[in-house]
Amino acid sequence: MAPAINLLTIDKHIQSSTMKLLTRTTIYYLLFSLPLLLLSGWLLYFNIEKSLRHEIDEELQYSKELWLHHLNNLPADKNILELNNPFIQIEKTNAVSNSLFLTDTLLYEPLEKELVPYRSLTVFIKRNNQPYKLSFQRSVVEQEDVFKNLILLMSMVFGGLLLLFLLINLYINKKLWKPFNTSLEKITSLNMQQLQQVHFDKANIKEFNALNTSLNAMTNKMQADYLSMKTFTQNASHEIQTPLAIIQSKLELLLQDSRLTEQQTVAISSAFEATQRLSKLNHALLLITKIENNQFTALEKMSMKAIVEKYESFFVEMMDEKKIAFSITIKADWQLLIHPLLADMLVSNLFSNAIRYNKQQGEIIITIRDGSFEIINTSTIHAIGAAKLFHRFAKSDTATGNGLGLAIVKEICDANNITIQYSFDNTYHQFKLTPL
Amino acid sequence: MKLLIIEDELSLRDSIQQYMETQGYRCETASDFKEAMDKIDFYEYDCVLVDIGIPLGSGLDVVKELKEIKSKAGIIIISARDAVDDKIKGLQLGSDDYLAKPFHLSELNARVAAIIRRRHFDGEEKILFNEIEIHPAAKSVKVTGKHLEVTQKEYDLLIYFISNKGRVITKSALAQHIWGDHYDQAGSYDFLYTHIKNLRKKLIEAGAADYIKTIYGTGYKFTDN
Repeated sequence: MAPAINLLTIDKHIQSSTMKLLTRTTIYYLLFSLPLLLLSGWLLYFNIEKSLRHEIDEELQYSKELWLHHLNNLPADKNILELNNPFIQIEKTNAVSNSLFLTDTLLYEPLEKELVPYRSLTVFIKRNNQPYKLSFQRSVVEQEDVFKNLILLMSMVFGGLLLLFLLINLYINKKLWKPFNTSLEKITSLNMQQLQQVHFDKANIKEFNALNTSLNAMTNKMQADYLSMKTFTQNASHEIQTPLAIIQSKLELLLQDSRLTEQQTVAISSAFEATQRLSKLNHALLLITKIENNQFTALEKMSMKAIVEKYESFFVEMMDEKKIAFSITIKADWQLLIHPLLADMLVSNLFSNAIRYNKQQGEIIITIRDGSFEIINTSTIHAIGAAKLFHRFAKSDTATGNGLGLAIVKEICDANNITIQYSFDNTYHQFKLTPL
Repeated sequence: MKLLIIEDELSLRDSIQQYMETQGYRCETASDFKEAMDKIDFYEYDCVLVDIGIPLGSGLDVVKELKEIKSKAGIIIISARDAVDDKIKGLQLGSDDYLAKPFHLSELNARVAAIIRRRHFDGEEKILFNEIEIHPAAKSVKVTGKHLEVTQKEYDLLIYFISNKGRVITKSALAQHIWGDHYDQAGSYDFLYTHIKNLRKKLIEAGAADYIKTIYGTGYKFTDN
């Protein structure tokens, strides 16, 4: 059962690695044809050997008959020992046996100068009352040669099969699998956000045709769902913003009333601020949904340096309030493919976070390299648990934001193949962006 | 000065009308596309406020019509859709400004004032408030005839205050006006106080009265009484 176990382990190995379907089928074909070839080779060898032996034995019998006939026709005084030649050995003997011996023997072959296998037939005759032993010999084709030839032949068959498989596969790949490969290409390049209409053509192979039909149905459904979700989120946001706008405007008008007491004014202001927060929250959630739906298509590369510089003047003011020491090092610009709005959001969220949670006379260090953006800051808070760091509404006790800032940052990173790492070394919090 | 408010939400329309009327504008309203088209075809306005999502049509088509009849009115789109596409489309069609709902009435008022100033006087008009005189074209401020050096932010604040004179202006409205969409990144209004404190000090030192009144817990009021 050794080959079977072998096959199983090979199979496991094949299963675990990724390769082209046709490569895999070829390997399977060859794996299964190898033992078959070995078995047929062995049977062939066995049969050839058997029939060759049979043939030689028959030949020996035939020459024996001929010789016996010849000897009987010789004159009685003829000394038959003179007839000795390579095909027949005649010698006098004492014992006479009626039996006939067929034996294998090795004889010295002067031409090849080695012992070669012979098949020999021995009979006993009586002539003039003198018993003689007659031996006939035939050289047997060497087993070794047969074996060698068979191996050579089988290897050629195996090689031929391999070549044939490869050629067939090449053909299959080009012709039969073409509709499949075309569909595969279409799916891979499918971009839902651009809402392009995809159609998988009818194929002349039943299975591929069924696949394409399901793909058509699926993409159509996906597209419809995507569109309805897109309009839903936008409509939901619209429906929420309008009542908020009404509340806000009424409160703003109410604030103009000069008869209000200070207490009433403060109460209205609080309600006003709350509607602001609600509105921002709505915006932020809508933004996250939009990012998740990939509704922001990056069209051009943005310069990290330019984005940071754009925000610098605004944030410098905020930093001055807390007397934060700010330094920025630009080793090289980082050009990254990202929607401009998201690029702004990414940088401003990280930047404002670093300021908001900073302490008085703290420190902020930004470093830009080609392929990385690093922001390091001191803070009043300790290390943030990495697990809930980027969770929505996860905020520290001192936070004044809506707890969505870092969640948005994470969504932007995920949608744009950027890795974000966070670390804390007892003094500094560090956020580092690198390409995925 | 005559305004047309195209907005289907009655409550919001009333709020806008009420606020703008106290600022001295005459306001007319339209609650759907048909009414809006009728009004812009028959009357002249100094500024038209258009909501995009209105019944029987789109606010964007109202903007198109205004451009087609070569109306002299300034156009401000007010929309609940804070979609970048809508904003760009509106501005491309020829609207002068875009405000996303919810907005501050004081902000709307300041923008209307700015557009009317630009359209009617090519920015040459002086903005006067007692002894304060502003030349928008030169971005210069004079107090009792003498030039007063102010920063860009202080200048913006002053214009905003004077546009909304006598009204209570919330801190968030001021912050949003000065810092735009960034303002919610700030997390506090601390840095707004600094700018207002500086502006107030400069005005008083130049000889102006103390017009900036703090409304406890709410914001400010620019008033001379």
